[in-house]
Amino acid sequence: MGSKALLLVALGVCLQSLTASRGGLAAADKIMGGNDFMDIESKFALRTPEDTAEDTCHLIPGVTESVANCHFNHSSKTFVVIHGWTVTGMYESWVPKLVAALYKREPDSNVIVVDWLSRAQQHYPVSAGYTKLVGKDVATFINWMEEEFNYPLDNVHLLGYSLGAHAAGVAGSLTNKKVNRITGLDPAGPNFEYAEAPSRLSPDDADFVDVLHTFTRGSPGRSIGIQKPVGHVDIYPNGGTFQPGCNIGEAIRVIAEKGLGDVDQLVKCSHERSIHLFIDSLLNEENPSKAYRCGSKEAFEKGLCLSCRKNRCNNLGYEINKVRAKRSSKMYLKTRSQMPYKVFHYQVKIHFAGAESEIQTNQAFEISLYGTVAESENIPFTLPEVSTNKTYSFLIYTEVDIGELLMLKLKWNSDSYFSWSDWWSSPGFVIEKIRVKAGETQKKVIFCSREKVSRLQKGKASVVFVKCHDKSLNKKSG
Amino acid sequence: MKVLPAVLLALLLCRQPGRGRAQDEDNDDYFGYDEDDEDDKDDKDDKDDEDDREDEAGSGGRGWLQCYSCKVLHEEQDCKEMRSCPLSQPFCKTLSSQGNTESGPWTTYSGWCADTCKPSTREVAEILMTTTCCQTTLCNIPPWQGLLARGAGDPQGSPETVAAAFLFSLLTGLWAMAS
Repeated sequence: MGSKALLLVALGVCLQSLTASRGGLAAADKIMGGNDFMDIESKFALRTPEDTAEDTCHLIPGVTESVANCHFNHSSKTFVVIHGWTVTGMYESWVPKLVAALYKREPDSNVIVVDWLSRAQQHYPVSAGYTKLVGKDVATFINWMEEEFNYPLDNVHLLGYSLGAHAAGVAGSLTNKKVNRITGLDPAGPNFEYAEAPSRLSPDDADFVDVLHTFTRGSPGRSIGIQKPVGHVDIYPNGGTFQPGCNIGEAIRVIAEKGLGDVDQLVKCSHERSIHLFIDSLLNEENPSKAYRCGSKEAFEKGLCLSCRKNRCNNLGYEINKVRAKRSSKMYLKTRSQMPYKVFHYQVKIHFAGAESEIQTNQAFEISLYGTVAESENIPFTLPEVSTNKTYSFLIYTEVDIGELLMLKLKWNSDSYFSWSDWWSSPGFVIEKIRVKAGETQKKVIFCSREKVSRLQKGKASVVFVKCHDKSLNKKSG
Repeated sequence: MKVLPAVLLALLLCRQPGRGRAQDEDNDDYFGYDEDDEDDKDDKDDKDDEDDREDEAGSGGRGWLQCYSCKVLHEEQDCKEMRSCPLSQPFCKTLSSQGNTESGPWTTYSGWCADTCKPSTREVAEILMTTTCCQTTLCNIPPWQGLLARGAGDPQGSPETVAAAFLFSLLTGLWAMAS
C-alpha cells in the first residue's frame, strides 16, 4: 500500500517536471485518465528530408518544447511509419528509403518514424503481443498532438509494415478521432489471421484503410502476410502469394552481386515488396499501377476483371481513391520484378472455330502486341484446354507501354521441336476475330483477320490480325 | 477482246485473298461471351456491353456524324455500310494496313465511328499501319472507293455508279498488279 502511494507520488513529480508548463492539476488529470506518458516506451523521431536515415530529433509526448525543437510543421500532413519485427534490433534498410520517398512526394510534410525496436526484437509471439502496447503508445502520442496543439487527425497517415500494420490498427482504434488513413504494408499473418478486429488492423481503425498483401504463401495462419482482407481496399499484387524476382535464382544473383549481407532481404523479399510498391507509387506519381477488383485470383488470371466501372479499379499506393465498399474488396494486378513495377494488362478473347472438332490440352501459344509507341513480342501463354467452337479468355501483360494497339500476331507452338504427331497432320483452328480489352486505357479493341478468317496451325507461322474496331469503356455514351 | 480474260484474271487474283467475302456485317456480338464481371452477382445488370451497337440503341443521343463502317476491306472492295455515330463518338476513324506477301503487296481498310482518335503512322513487323481521323460526314471513305462516285450526291450510289466504281476498282487493281 505504502509503496504504491510512493510510486504515484514519484510519478507525479516526474510528470510535473516533464510538463512544467502545465499545472500539476493537468498532470494529475492525466494519471486519473490513465493517459500516462511514462508508460510510453516507443520513441517518435521526426526525420528530415536532409537526414532520412537517422533519428536525430524526438517528439516526446508531454514535452511541448520537443515539438518546436524538432521543427514540426503544424500546417502540413504527418506520416507515421511503424516498422515490424526485427531480428537484428536495428532499422531495416527500407526505412530511410520510405522516409525519403515520402519527403520527395510531400516536401512540407512531417515524417515520423516510430522506434519500438527493443520490443520488436523479441521472439515473434512476444513481439506480436507488444503491438497492442505500441499501438497504445502511438495513439497516446497522436491524441496528445491533437489535444496540445489542435493538430487535426485528418492530417495523419499511419504506415505500418508487418507487425507495424497491426500496431497502426490498434493505434487508430484508440485515437480520439479517426486518423485520415492507415496503409497496411503486408500486415503480419501469424497470430493475426484469426484475431478479432480490435487487436489487428481493420477497416474501423481509420477513415480509410488500404492494404497491400505481398507474401501470403502457405496455409492461413502460417503465412507471413495476413491472407484475409483487413482494410477498405485490399490489393494482392501478383495474387499476393509471392512476388516476381524473389525466387532462388534471383537470390543467388543478389548474393553474388552484393554478398551475404543482404540475405535477410531475400528472406523477406516478397514481404518487403509491399513497401517498395508503395515507394514506387510515391516516386512515379504520373503512372500509378492499377489494381482491379476481382472475385478470385483465377478469374483475374482469365482476364475477366479489367473493368473500371463502379470503382472496380483503383490506383495502387499513395494515389489510391478512397473507396469504402460495404464489404472489403480484393483487388489484383501484375507487376514487374523491379521498380517501376507498373505493367499493362490485357484481356484476350479468342473464339476457336473449325470444321473438324479438335480438343487439345495444355497448349502453348505466343502473342505479340503492336502499338503506336512500341511493341511487346512473343508473350507466352498456355491454355489448359482448346477445343473447337469455344471461346477462351485469358490475361496477358506487357512491361512497356506500347501505346494504342494496332496489330496482333498469334502463334501456336508445337509441343517440341520434333513432334511427329504434328508433323503428319498439324491441328489447326479457324479464327475470325480476336478481342482485346486494355485495363489501363479501358479500351476494347477488335482485331480482324486480314482475310475473312485465318487458320492458326500448331507449329506453323504466326497469324496476323489488324485492328478493325475500338471503343472506350466507361464513357457515358450519348 | 483481250480485255475480258484480263478482267477475269484480275477478278480472280484480287478476290482470292478475300475469298469472295461479302460485305462484313458489323456483328460484334458474334460470340456469346460470359459477362466480364462474373464475380459480381449484385450488379449483373451492369455488365460491359459487348455490342457497340448497344450504345447507339441505348444512348438515345445520336449525333449528326455519319461514318463508313467496315472491317478489313481489301483494295477492290467498297464499304457499303454507313453508320450514324452516337454523340459520344465524334470521329470517323480509318485504319489501313499495307504489307507485302509472296503474292504481292496488299492493303486493307477498316473504318468506324470512334470516341477517340489520334492520327498515326507506324511500321510494325513490316506492315505499315496508318490511322486517320476526320469529323465530317462520310469523310472516312476507303481511298479506292468512290473515285467516281464521290460527288455523285447519293453516297449509296445508283446501280450505275456502283457498277462504274466496281469496274474502276477492278481496273486500278489490274493496273496495280501489272506495275
